[in-house]
Amino acid sequence: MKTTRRAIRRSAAAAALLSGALALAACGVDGSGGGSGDDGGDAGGPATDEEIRTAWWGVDNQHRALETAIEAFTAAGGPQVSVEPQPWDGYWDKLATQVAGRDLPDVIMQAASQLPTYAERDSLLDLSEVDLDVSGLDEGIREFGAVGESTYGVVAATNATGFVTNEDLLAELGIAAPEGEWTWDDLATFASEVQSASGGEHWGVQDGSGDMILFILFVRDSGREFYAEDGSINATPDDLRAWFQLWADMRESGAVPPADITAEASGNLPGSPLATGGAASGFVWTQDYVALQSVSDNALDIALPPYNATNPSLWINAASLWSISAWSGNPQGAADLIDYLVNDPEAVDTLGATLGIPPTAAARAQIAESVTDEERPAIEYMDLVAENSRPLNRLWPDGFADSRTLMSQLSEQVAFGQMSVDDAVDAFFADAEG
Amino acid sequence: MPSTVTQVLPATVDPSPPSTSSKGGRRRGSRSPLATTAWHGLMLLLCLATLYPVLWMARSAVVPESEIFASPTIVPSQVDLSNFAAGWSANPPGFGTFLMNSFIICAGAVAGNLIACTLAAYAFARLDFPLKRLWFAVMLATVMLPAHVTLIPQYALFSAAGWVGTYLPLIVPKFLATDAFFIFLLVQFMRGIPRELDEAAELDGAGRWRMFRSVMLPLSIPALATTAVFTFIWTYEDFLGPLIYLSDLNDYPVPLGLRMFMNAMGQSSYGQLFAMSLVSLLPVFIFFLLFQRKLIAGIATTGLKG
Amino acid sequence: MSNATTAAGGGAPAPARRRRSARRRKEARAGYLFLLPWFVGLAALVIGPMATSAYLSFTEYDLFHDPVWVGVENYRTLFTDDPRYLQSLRVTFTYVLASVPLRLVVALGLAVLMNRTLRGMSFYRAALYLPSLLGGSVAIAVLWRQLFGSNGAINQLLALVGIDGPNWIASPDTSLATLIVLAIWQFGSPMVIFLAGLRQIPAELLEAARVDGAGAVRRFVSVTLPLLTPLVFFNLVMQTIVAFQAFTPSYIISNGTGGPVDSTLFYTLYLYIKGFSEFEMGYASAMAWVLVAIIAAFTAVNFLGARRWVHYSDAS
Repeated sequence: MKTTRRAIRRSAAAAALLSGALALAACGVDGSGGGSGDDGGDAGGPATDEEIRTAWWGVDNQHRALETAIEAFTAAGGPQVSVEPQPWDGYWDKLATQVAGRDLPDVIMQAASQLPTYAERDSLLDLSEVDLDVSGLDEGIREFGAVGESTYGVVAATNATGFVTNEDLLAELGIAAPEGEWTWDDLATFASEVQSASGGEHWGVQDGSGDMILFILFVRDSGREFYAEDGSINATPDDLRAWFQLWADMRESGAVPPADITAEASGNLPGSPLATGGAASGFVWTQDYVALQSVSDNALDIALPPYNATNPSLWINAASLWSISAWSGNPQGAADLIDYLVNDPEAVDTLGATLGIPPTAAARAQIAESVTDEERPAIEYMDLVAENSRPLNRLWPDGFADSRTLMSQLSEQVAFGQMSVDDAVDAFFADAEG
Repeated sequence: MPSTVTQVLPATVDPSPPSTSSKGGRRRGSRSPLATTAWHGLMLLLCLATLYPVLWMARSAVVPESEIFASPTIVPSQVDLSNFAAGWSANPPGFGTFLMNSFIICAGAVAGNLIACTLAAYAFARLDFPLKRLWFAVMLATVMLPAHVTLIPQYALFSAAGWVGTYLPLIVPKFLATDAFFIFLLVQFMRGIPRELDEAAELDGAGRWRMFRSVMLPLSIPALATTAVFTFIWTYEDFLGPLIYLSDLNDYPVPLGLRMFMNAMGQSSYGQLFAMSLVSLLPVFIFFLLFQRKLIAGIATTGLKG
Repeated sequence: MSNATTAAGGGAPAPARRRRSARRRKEARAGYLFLLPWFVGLAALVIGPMATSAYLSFTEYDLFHDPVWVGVENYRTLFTDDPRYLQSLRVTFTYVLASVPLRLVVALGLAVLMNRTLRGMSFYRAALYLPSLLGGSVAIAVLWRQLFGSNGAINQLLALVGIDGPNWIASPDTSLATLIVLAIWQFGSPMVIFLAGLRQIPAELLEAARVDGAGAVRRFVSVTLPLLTPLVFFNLVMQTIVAFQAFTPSYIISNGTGGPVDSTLFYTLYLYIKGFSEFEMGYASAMAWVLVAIIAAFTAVNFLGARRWVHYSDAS
């Protein structure tokens, strides 16, 4: 019966879209844009046998692990599950199209940056409407799927940014990487030391000026938050000016690669200066650290970014989350699947660290023995982060993804000398949405 | 009025023309061995320059991953075919399935375009009917709208029809002549075929259908082959359509399969990607090699008005 | 036109006139019958989505909610309040005006060069088509970096003669040029169409010209080229349309950003970013219809100009 309802909803969406001006009236009547309110009756009920569609992004080993775990879920009495794995490229295009067609998969892998967009536009189910146990998740991670008062996602795996250094190169140059408590000014000092000690052969650090995550660390280092509670930007133009200037000075002196080298490496990890040995350090996500190590000839180390003990700037981040479609015909079945993937020991065993670092302490303890040598430093680093971090005051607001893109564009224009730092700061605060 | 060369033609046109059509070329080619050698040299040089990136890719598929980006050479330091084996079986259900799926979709698309576009093109090229110019303009206008904005309404349509997850959204439109590119292409070809031929058939009492079938079709073989080749190739490499309409890995065609070797986190296996890119080139290359004979076979028509 | 002829034929004997108009009716019926599949496709699959996107261009539509009517606001914003849009126009016009003529010249040149029977010819033809077979494959992105990167093959070649080449692919001044080179490199499809057209040219005509004492160049200019004009025209029109809509090259090589600093921000790439990343499908639809207007204008100019230089064999 629910399948039929879903089919009707899809047809209504199609008809509404196609009937041009009639769309407004048609949708007003059938409420297909209404989301969870309309579908509240479905949620919270017992799981049914209706098939569940599950979508995620990833690579081969992630697909295999998830498929194995999902087969076990069905074998253990769960409903049938059809899987829709995708590489990251294309995943979001397809999801956007499915949203417009009211044809979302039941279980959706979400990114922290996209979750608010989908949640605030009524396409995700408020998880309080289903029976789902998230008590095992780490404290700061449990709220990561929250938007406003409601929770829309369960963290599937965690990650964090780290400061990665080329140990071999630093040993050769006789320079020590910053340790313990250190500041962004120390980063500049370190970078220019590398540059002069190597006679200009090596850059001190990869250009991170366009990475809004790093700028957020920079702001939080002073004890403030980047976003105010209401989701508006709390950082000031002076913060951003200081940030851009810090990197501009390093670029000027040759401690940071010139703009074209940075542009060339964008989206191309194996070609990045850190991977090729051109730069002595860089800021990298934990999963990228594992990938970098596998393509680099040098030994790489991962440590905390600029750190002060009073105001730890780092937070444990959600690498990915599980969400349920607001239009799901079997929300409780979908919730059971998520529950299984996150909490069930058998699933934890199957998944290991393929998706990233598991979000529950129980799972981390369980897989500690079985992780690969490349994964181990990342897991140990996450333990370090857990002790030296401060949860974000709130999840990213709706405009986060756009602001992040804007910042990287502006910093690139500054780097290529097409815009002054002051103009970039003005442009950011004129356009960035809270 | 330019001079007109007319020649009497048999009422039925032989669809497999004698190879005399390229008389001039052959004579030139066989003029002297030296010229032939020079010509081969030139062609080889051209091919080498054009194919350098492909050759580099071939070399990179058979050397260790760490050597790939270290050198621009096209001569491999060693030949290790393990990337082919690994790439073939990576990403289950594996590359064999992806290839098979691509063939199914391509076969449907080629058949569809050949039938539907040829019919439409004949009407535009040869028949006179009310509003012809308007419909021709409409036909051209349909190729001008970027696909990205019709994607969502189209998806809604196919989703309502329950076709999402099947090959129907990728094949059925071809049978309804939605590829205006080919209609226009075939129109241009058909307009290059002298009207005297139709008229001769008409005098014999042939109806429109028979004139289409026994005069126009045989004469349009190069254009039909071109349509077949391009449809095959463009369907084969299409990424967006399959991405949106297919979800089950078992249904994936080659381009979606190839994407699985890349990933945002950078753990791409370049060797395997290159190996499978080469493997995926092979079927289209063979298809092209086979069809190009038809494509450039030439037609024994004369009677052109210059 | 047909009506005018009918009216003008008023002086002809009545039976003949009736016969002619009967024939005309029959032909019209045949025309519509041949077009039937196309009409079905147009009505069922094409008009609906086109009309929808036209409607959406006057709305704010975020994919999640129902479209909200905003009138011409999207169109107004495009031209008065969106510098990135103007940049994408600049990039696209440069790309079209540079890549289309160059690609066609290369394609025609190679087609003429290969229009002869010779051992190994089919191999050469297929080999030269190979780059086009790669199409928008993900491998292209890697290949182009390998060619035009700061340490790429081109710069290593230049270094041999002592030139320190720029970072072609990552400098805003040269990045678009590398995409134009990519477009030229994939000259296969116009080449194949030219080849097929060259094969249609009757050997007798060339032979006659030869007998008249015309040299190779003269034969090409006064016999081959005029007969090839319908296909030159086709390629010009279609390649222009295709180039205006170019998406994949920039998408795969700039990693979907149109960078560095928007120097490869193709029109459709920006449209795609607006529609699918920023969820402004109404705005993207407005962009699409402006593009239709631009392409239609170019196509119309092409068709008008064609009267002067395109020769059809079926012209009476």
